[in-house]
Amino acid sequence: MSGVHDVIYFSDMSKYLEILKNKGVIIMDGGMGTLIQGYNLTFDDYDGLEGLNEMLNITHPEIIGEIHNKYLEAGSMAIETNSFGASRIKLAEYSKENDTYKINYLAAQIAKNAVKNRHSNKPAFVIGTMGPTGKLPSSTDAFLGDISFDELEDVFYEQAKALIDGGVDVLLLETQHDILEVKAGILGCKKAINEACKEIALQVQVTIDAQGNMLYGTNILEAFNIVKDLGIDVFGINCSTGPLEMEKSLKRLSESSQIPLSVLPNAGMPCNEHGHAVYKLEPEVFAQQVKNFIKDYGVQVIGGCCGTRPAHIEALAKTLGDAPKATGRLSASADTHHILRDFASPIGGLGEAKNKAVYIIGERINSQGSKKAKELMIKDEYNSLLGLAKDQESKGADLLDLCFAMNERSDEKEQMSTFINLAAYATKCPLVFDSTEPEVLEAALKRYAGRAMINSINLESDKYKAVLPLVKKYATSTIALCINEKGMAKTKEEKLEIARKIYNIATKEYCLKPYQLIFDPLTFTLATGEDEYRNSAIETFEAIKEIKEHFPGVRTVLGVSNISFGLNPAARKVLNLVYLNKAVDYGLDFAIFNAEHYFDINKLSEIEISLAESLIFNKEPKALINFIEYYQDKKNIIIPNQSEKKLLPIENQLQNQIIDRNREGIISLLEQAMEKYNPVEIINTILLPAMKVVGGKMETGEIILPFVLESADIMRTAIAYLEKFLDKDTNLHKGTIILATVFGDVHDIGKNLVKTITANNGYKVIDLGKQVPADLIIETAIKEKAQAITLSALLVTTSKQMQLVVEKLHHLGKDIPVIIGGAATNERFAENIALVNGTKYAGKVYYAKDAFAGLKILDQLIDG
Amino acid sequence: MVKQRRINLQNIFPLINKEALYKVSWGLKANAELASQFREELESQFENIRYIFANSGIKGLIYYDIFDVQVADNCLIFPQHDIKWCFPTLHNKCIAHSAKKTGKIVLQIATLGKGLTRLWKSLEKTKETSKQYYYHGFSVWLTEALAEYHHDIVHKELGSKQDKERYSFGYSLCPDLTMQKDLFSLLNIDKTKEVTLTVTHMMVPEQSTSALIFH
Repeated sequence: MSGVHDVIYFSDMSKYLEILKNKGVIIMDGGMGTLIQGYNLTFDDYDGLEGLNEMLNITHPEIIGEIHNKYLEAGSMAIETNSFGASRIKLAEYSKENDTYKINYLAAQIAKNAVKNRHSNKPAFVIGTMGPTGKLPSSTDAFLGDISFDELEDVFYEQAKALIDGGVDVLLLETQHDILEVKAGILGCKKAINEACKEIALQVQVTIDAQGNMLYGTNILEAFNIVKDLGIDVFGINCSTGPLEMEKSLKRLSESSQIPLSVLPNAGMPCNEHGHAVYKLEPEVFAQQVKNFIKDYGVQVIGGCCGTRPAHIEALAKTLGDAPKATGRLSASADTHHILRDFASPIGGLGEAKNKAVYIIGERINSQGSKKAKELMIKDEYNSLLGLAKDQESKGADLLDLCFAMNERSDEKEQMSTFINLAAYATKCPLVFDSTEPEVLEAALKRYAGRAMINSINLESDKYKAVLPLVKKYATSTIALCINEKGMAKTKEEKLEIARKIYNIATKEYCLKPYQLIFDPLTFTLATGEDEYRNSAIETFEAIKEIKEHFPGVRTVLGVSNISFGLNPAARKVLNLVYLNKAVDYGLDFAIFNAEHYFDINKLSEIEISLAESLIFNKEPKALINFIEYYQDKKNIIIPNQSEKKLLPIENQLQNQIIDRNREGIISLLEQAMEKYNPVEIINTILLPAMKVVGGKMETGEIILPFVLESADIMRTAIAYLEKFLDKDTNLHKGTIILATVFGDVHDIGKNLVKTITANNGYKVIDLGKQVPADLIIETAIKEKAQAITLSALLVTTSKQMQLVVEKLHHLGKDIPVIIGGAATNERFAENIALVNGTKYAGKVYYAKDAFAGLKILDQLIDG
Repeated sequence: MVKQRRINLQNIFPLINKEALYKVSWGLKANAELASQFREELESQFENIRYIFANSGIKGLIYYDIFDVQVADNCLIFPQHDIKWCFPTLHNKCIAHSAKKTGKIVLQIATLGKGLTRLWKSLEKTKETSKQYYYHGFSVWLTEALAEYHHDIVHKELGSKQDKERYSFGYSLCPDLTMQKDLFSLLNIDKTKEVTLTVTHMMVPEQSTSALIFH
């Protein structure tokens, strides 16, 4: 019999893609975990590792095989290997990382055997599945974010290789939360595929909430735009919600994607029953809802995720009938390389900018072009740089250029990466990596979760040979300057010639697509009046037009402000704006520019426009002189206010940030406030009163404790920033207190609360930590001239240490007040320990029921 | 040979006593009007932290074993180990008497292990007290749920028909923390394990809970 099956068996990847190419539909399987649960396995079945389903590939392959059989019999045409959590990182949680290859290889083999021995002549494929590693490379969390792109790429490469060796037809990255991990995963899989010399399809699925967003807010469409050109064969979504919640996202995908789509929903939204997630969507309803996706949105790969069982797949197979075809694909004519889709931030894309005449690349985070930015970079002021980014975004920039190159420092790569990590999810503007060093660019591309632009290559040296492979590998695009070994191209012909050469190298030698090239035909200043440059703007305009005509699909960019270099600020703003507007008429796509200076040209007077045009188009010999003269007495023009939003005074804005627990942008607000106040005034008259409001709200029950702590954390950030501007001996504090969890006690969450509340209400807090011996507490209090000692203890046994501290203080003849708190203490305990051998301790002992009560006592002690 | 089990935390998260977490640890006690709004925010904190705990290398670990004991007055004697534990009587209850019926006791330690310590260190570095506060509350109730979960398993495995009884050191019926030293020696918990004892007999990480289980 097996021979017969071998003949029918034609599970290879080309067939998988062929079915999809012919608008066929592939039915995958349903949940694996759901069925494993049904076997009521014991600890021993997992070799003591409860929950490590992939362990069953070794201990109970027959169970996994049986589950595969059930799905094949139900009508699955493609089954997923039992390897979802078998990445090295996941297995390491169970100390099984050394079995990574074995577990994945076996997973593929078990599935392959099931396919071979199936009782059907329908095509069937083995899909090697890889779930997320659980790490989140985009996270700034020290623990979750603690993994590099390269490490992730290796982890997926290793798993993919074992699955391929085991015989899978398709590799699947699924249930992915972090688009940066997806990118690394794709590159890892592609490496394994290329090495295997087999044709293996690559399918990628992210998981999104009902609003269509991934964990960090990456929308489904942005996720798609970010990975679509990395060489994937199928893109889709799985898990998290039932079919209905996925519909909106599928519709959007269907409108933009020509890549086949997959969808594997859960059996509805989970309900919590006795502590277990239960999925209740009935097979027939599930099947009908999924079927509609094929009909309405042309989805071609379907199946189920959590809570789906063979019954769901059977219902699906039944309702679809034999050889179903996908219809209703909306994107048949969609331009897949629309400019809006080739650049994306992980939380937004150019798509949000809608169709604009020209897209502005904000130029202010540039060590070469901005003195302010450079100073911030030298001082590692990343938060202020982020403020610059946000400011440009709010003023209309569509992308943001980043350049960290300078002579003063030698860590351009590290600086750029650090900033990208901070900025990636903080701005909706896609980033532009501006560097001449290929290794800086590659590090940036690996760090960025979005889809970036490179700035730039040219033919002056061989460096392009190192950059173009990056453009290809990371599916990005690059600015190409019209410069060769002879220098900058000045005439239209020279510009076109260099563009042609770059185009040929890029598209023929490096197989790039035209849309990956953004030509910059160069801007020269018109302020010198030299004959050589009088026609330079016209040459550039003509070059834009011809480059786009000769090389369809490519894009163009100009560094606009070069045009006015050497003129006074007022003249510059006008000339820049008119030049940019004219360039757009010739087809310019991008402009590197200060977004603040980009406004409606009609706001300029006719005479201003005509003077500028005369200069740009070299209409008369005296054009430059006329233009300069007109602006001689005008130092600056007033830029029309773009945002009509009325802002609160800076004081209220700052206070609201603290009260509303809004961390974002606090530094740039502080910068603004510093123009008006000194740091001490900001702390005393703006920030501390805000914390007082927060404390008041806590007291009246308007907010709860953790919210107060969030406010306090923002307060701390603010003070840390302001402290940098203070003289060392400035005394900001109302008083100094010593804080400790007493000896023998390891519990310090309460103590930390006290620290946060007091430190952010004006006290200098010397925190000695936990398990602190009495002598150290007393010594420090004396040395630091503390106004109070505050002690915490959780247990009755350790609270005796508080008594010891008071006794020792008493015997030393001290009168430092002691404030105690913690679960084991109370008012009476405080009274008791205040009596040392019948005499009252001179400094008194106070009981504080919580951090706020403690703060009140302190305030009373200090203010008298 | 100490018995050790690794519990899948995914099974434990749904068992966390959310009411207690929100009210006792996260301070949810605002007026009714705002409570639902706060609750919503705390829910999203909960989900967020759950994700981090599921993916930060934190393990649900159980060390446990079953022992023969003799009951003498208010004390439990471990005859093979030369250990005697005596307990106070409160409201006519002394927990030593709970072992009379079977002559056996299960000792258990539930801990989130070294992974928790690592996570905690990285949290401390951020200096964000609010984050520490949320995580702390979550981890405390997670540990409690873990201990309860395994208590259930033991209860079933032993086929016990009695009510479940579980006591921890440091509380009124079982106040003597120094007994934890014996507990560690009975369960053979040495330095290679993921929970340790301080000189003052407290467990590290703090997110560990020991238990005496009777059936």
